[in-house]
Amino acid sequence: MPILKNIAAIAKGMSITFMEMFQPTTVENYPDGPGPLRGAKFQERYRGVHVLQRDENGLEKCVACFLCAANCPANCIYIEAAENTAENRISGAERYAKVYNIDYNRCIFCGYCVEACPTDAITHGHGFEIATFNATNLIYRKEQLLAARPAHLGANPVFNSAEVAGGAPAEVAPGE
Amino acid sequence: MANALDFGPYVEIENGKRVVKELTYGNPTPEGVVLTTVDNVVNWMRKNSIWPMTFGLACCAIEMMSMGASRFDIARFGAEVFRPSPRQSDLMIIAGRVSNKMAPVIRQLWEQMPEPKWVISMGACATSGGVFNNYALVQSVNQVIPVDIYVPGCPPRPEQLIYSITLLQQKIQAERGTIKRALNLTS
Amino acid sequence: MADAPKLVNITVDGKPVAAPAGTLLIEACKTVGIEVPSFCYYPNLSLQGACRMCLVRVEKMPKLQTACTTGITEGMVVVTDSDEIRQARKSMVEMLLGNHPLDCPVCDAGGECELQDMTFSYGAAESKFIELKQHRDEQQWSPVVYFDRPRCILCYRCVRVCGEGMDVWALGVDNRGAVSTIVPNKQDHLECEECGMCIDICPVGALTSGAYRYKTRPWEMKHVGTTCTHCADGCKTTLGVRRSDTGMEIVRGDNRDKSGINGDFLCIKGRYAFDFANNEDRLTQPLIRKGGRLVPATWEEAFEFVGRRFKEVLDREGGRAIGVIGSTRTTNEENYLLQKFARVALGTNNIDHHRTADFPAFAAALHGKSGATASMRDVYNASAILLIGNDPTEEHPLLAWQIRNNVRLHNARLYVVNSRPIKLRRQAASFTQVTSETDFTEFLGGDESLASFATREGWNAVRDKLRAEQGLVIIFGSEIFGEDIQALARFAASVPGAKLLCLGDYANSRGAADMGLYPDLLPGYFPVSGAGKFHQEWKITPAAPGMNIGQMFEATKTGQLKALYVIGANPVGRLNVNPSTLKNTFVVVQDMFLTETAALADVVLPAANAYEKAGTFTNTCGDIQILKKAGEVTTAKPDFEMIVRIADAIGFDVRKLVPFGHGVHADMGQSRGAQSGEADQHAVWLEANGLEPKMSPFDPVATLDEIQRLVPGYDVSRTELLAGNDQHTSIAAMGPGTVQNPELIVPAKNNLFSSGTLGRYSRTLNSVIENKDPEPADAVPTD
Repeated sequence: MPILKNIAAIAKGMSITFMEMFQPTTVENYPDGPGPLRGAKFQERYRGVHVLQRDENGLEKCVACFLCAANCPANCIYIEAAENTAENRISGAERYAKVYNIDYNRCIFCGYCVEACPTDAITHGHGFEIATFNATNLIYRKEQLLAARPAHLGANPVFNSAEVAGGAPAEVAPGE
Repeated sequence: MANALDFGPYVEIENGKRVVKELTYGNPTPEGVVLTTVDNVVNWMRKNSIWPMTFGLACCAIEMMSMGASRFDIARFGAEVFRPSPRQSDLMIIAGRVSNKMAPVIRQLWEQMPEPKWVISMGACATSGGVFNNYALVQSVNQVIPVDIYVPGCPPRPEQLIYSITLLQQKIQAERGTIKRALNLTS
Repeated sequence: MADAPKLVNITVDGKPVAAPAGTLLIEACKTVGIEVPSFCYYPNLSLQGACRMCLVRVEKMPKLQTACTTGITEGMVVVTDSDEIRQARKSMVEMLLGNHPLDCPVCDAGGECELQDMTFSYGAAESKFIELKQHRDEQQWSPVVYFDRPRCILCYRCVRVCGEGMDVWALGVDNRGAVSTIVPNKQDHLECEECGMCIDICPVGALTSGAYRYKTRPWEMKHVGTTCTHCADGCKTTLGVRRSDTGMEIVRGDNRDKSGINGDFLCIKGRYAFDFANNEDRLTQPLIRKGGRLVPATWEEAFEFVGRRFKEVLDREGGRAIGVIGSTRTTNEENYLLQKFARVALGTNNIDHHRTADFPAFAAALHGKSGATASMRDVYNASAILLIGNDPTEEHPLLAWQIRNNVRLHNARLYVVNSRPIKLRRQAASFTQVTSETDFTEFLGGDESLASFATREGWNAVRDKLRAEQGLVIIFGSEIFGEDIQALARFAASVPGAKLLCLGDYANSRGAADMGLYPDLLPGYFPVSGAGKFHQEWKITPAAPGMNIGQMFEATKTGQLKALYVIGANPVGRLNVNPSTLKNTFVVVQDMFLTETAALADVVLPAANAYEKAGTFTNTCGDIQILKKAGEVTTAKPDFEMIVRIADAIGFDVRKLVPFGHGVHADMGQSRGAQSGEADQHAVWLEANGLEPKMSPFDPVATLDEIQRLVPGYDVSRTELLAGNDQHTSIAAMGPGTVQNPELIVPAKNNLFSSGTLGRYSRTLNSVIENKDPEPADAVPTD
């Protein structure tokens, strides 16, 4: 009975389709999902936009040792160092980074800078919405990279992307 | 010597941070209710049917393919139809490093695409050469073709690429004078 | 010289080594490529034996021996590397790290630290000591010297180099044993020559530089070995440059590879006074006087304007109505080009420069006497030195170092003749105080009539001793000029092997003289009237001598001189010219800053300095060295390019000025900013002017070819030159020179902390001067 056979085959095939209808969906709901990640799912170890951390006193951890820049395979980190003074104390050590730029045009998010950092100042956050219309905006300055507030206030700022700034610049309305 | 360079108008974003104002595009002159409404309809149709070209250059292409597959599924944006011919494509995703030999090919493919067309520069290599600052590679694809959106990453995750497509949709929706241009009514 | 010393045979790590008796074991090992680590040992300084890093095993000796204090003896068998020795060295590193703060990330020596290297080589990065480290705050000893006591490993190199090498003795050791500490001579600060040798020689970051403090890290910079632009000694200084938003910024000067003419030495100016290049007062665009005020203009506008005005004067009155004043700080190529521009393009011999020594008379005295000039290296190796006049400690720091260390290490005899009790008398075997150096010189030359009988007694003794010397080097300053140089040369001829050295004051004073920035002399001290190679090559050359610098300003008063072209000089500041005398003169000035002269000019063109261009310098001894491009400021142009552009604007064929194109050596980018797109910039101009874009008329190497072809004595090896080595040019092979008006010789009177216009705009030098005990600053910047 070839017809019955064919119907059985179709039923068998459609049953798989039918069963899949009750399985949970595999599609990530980005960008319409809940939360700051808008539905994107990352591993904790995901290397997103860098965050320059602060110490427990709120001072910058970065001492401008240039090791991150030395280690950077893409040569995308630019630093200018300056000396802390009593009136103007920026970091915990003698010197601080007056200018700290990361060129995300070139950065390959390899994490070598994070490994090189002797003071654990530079870390990877989970910021990922950094695409832009204008490549100039991809050179992030220190103000954009710095952690927003003292680290001890957050649960775990290194992996807590909701807490750290430095993600995408807020969407700027296109046009005028 | 510092501050000698000025990149143009800045806008304030949160926490007092400043970024360079995004480029403006489209026609800023008012066009009247009818034309803008028609524009909006055309733009809405266009932005929900961005057909990318099947065109991968290197590792970024894997992520681009992944974006088309089930977990990320750009069918949600009407962009799942990867066209094998530039003549049927709206969007060119430069997914990978651009070698000097590839540059004229890219240029030709881009020229074969019909208007309106858009370009996304995906990943560090396409945007700036990335780690490959050497004789063989074009240091930024925007030396060859105009780029609408730059996506950093090495390679960018599919989410990052989806984000750039949503940015592109915003850009398309904001365009003015669409219908006039489509009907060849502009000077 | 003495007989070849007896060789001693030893065995090091199984390799046979033969070295002269008395050689230290550590040096003998170096000859076969075995490096024995050490902190406290430093070649040419006294032995200390403080760090115990150089421990080696010598057969039949009971314990490990220090290689830096052990002399070699016949049949010695040495092992420099074994588990035992490694363990010993590791322990030493661990001891040193016991109280050494691990702040390498913020230490300016990080990346260039010998202790870091040793720790990498021998381990001991993890310490057994758990006690808290003793902290002491960092001290600032002077504007340029910082001392961080916990980082100090007590190798005493700084103490020894300051005392033995510099003869300053500003550093010492306080306390004993583990609590020893290096201290400055004034309790909490230094009163010294600020040479920075202690910083250079410090193996760790205990002594760090104030000028480079926290600016960048060693690996972030590109290091360019070039020639110092301050005094006339021509030290090699290595500039660390970093990209900035207007080109390449110089962030550090030091003596990084010690490969130059100056060996270990560098003074404060070579080390810190590069910062005039970054001064905010620097001119950034051409200025044209409009309605009595200097207003910014574009380069094209400025060149076109200068060319048009020069052409007007040329057409109306000819070249004799234009005067040209050259610089003592521009390269040989630029000086040569400038005088060629004056003589060929303008057709005038009205060219002069700020003379600081009588080189034409020197050339006249030594004409044809080859081998009679001393190089800077000769000073270090001479067995006896006669120093007449000048104060090298202040005005020629490298020369003073060479003399001092020659006396200290080679037991050379130094005879000082001076009207002042200069500091070098401390090294002198004989010091003769005279009322006038010229009297003494004439006495040496055979004219004994001037000297009074009472003093001549002492003079006779000095002369007799000098006559007995073998390999005497006679050094004289600007006190000796004209006929006196002839007298001195006569005396030198009576002493076998004697050599002469004439001291000018600015970096390329000698080069300016050699390149013919004189109204009566062509390059190589040939008279303008004679018919020679230059006339054949250039076709046209005015034969009558032109106006000298004094006559030029007289002529502007009378209206004879209609235009003045001044390059890198400040004659107004030096000659106190009344501004109204230049009222009716069209003045063009090329300089870095708005000097007194530039402020009176009609057109001011911002110039690049010697650190921002390629070329060659000739130091006061006649040693020619290459100048490599280090910094770059996009807002200034090299003088070379500006001269060519002005010649072009006048309507002169630049091919006749610069022999570029075929048949000349290209420098393959060794000296130029080949990576910075400079060649492309030149190609644009060449294309626009219909010239083949192979070699540029702005390439000074083409002119160097012409110099080497036409100026005798400058035919040195190009390979050696490009390699950065110094070579002695021969003044004897050059032209006959002249002996004439010495009143034009105005010594610069720079001391250790001043350097003409450049010193005025150096923040570091100014801050050092401010920190010194107040003294009336009588030195007027004069270049």
